[in-house]
Amino acid sequence: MSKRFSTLDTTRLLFEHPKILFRMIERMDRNEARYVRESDLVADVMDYSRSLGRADRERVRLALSTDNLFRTGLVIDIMKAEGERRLVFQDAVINLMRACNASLYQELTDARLRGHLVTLRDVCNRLELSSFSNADPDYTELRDDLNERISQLIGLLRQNVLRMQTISTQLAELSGDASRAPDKYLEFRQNLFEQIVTLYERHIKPTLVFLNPDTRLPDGSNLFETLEAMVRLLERQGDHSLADQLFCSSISLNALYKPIQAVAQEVEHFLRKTRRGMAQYNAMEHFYHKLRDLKGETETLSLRRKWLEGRDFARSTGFLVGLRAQPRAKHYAFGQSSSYYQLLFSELELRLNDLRRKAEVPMLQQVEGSGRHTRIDVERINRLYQWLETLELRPTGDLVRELHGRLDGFIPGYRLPDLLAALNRLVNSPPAGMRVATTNRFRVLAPETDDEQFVYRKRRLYAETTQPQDARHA
Amino acid sequence: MPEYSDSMVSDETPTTTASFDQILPAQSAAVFREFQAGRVIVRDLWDANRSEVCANPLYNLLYNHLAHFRTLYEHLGSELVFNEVGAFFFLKESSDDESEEHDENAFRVQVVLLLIGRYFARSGRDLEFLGRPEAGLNEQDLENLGADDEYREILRAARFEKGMGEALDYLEKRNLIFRAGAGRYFLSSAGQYFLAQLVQEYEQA
Repeated sequence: MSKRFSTLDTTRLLFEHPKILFRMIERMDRNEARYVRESDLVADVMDYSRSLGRADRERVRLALSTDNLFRTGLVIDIMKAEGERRLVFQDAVINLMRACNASLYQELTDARLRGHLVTLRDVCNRLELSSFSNADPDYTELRDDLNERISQLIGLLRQNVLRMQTISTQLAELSGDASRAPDKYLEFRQNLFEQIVTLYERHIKPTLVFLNPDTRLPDGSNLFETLEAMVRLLERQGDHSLADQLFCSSISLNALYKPIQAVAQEVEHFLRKTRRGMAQYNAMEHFYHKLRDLKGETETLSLRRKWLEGRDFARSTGFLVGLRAQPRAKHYAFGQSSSYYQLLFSELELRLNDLRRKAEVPMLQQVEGSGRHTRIDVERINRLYQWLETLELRPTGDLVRELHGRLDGFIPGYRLPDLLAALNRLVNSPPAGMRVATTNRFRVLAPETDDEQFVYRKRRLYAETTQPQDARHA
Repeated sequence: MPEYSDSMVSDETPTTTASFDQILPAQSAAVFREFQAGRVIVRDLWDANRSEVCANPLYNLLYNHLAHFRTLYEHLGSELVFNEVGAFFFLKESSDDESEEHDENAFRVQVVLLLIGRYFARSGRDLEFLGRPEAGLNEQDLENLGADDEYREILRAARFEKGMGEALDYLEKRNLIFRAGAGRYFLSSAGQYFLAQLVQEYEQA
């Protein structure tokens, strides 16, 4: 016969190595089962006892064998189902284990609370029919039963309030933990959010309803009404001590309402905020993806799509549609001095002269291609030069722009290369009595008709009689 | 008929000429200049000197004489739009042939706001904080925004060649975002309204 242990010794051993049962209870809760699989238990025991000394290991393995547990009455039932053996432990053992580990407290569910309430109502009914005499064992048993149930209830509720109050620390951890990677954070938040929703809906709220003295229940009296009825009954029958006891208990229960309500409010607030936060997050992602799709279109092989085609997007959201652009200020160099006006008038006069001579303006033929019609090119240039000779020019700080102004729109067939030729001509053989000085300042000429731009160095045209100014002044 | 015209004038409460008398031309011109510059007129502006939010007198002016200004801008060929929830006014060009350019502006604004909103939501913060001067975007945020390649690409495709800085300036010039200090920005009520509208639209879809 193998060594056996007594129930007391087995229990003592269990509590000396509580980790085994803790893990087992955890697994039971997770799978929402009331039994433990034999294979699981054996595996757990093996795992745990590996780290023990030889003697201890033997003891543990023996004490926690299925055989021993069953014989000592700690396991009350062994079921055979689906090819495995399932062990059901005694409730007392499990509950004691739970009491030793706060994380294993079982949440109060609606069903369980209702069960308690129904039992109390039942006691109340039985109380009404009883004799209220201390000599009657029915009455004394009923009284003891009542006391036990009430204390049980209070204890259970008190445990859970403690548990619920630790939720606020979890909530704090969750809000604004931006240090996590954005993707993991979302997952993490989603999981914890779901957990807390479940906790709130299925545990906190039912408890609140249970403890609310004003709740109207469809199937009978609520908790406080039941207790009150019993208190009155007992007082009428003269059992004042029990009545007082009950009354104190109902006050204790009442006192539990406020802290649970506080937790409920906090959780509710958190849920609302998180729901909002998640809605915001999802909304942003949704529209951002739309934007990304638009960008994807710019990356296709179609060369025409360089910029985002935002018209539909903008219109669909409708925000600020029709908003004005900021205009770029047009700069006008209006002057007010007399020299400004002199310049203005002399320029006008020169241009008017040109207009008068419009009939004599040469026609520059279109150049077909480079080099093919050299004779035409030469002829063209000659005509241009001839015209240039007749052109009256005044001293100017920017000869190129002046020339362009005089030639552009005036001579048909004029193009930028013609300007180059004209410039060259003037630099090499300036008009009588004038000189051309080249400065180191660059300017850009961008005629509207052409796609090209002409970057040139400013050239000053000045009369020979006056002293040429420093190039820096140009 | 003199009698008819007289009775017509007396039926209209304040006549258009009378409403002009109630408003200082300088202020009306100031409003016009703001709109010309492409700005929205918000109720609360940021006073950089005092580092606090202050009321915008132009907003009050528009609010108190809404009918007058609506008519005035209608005559000028635009539509004065009042957004009560976002507490801002803006001018909408009603001519159709210019619609492309103006949609483009609206779009560019929306792109930048969307990028900011998305970044903020991803960092786990509530979008409401974007509109608070003491919260909003801080230096670290600006750095992260600027460093993100995808955002930069999107901005470039929206013609913001120089990236986030240029985009923020674009919004700032239009009173959609305010600079609360070096490296700190927060959205005006108009900018905030856009993000709220996006969320609402998503929830209803």
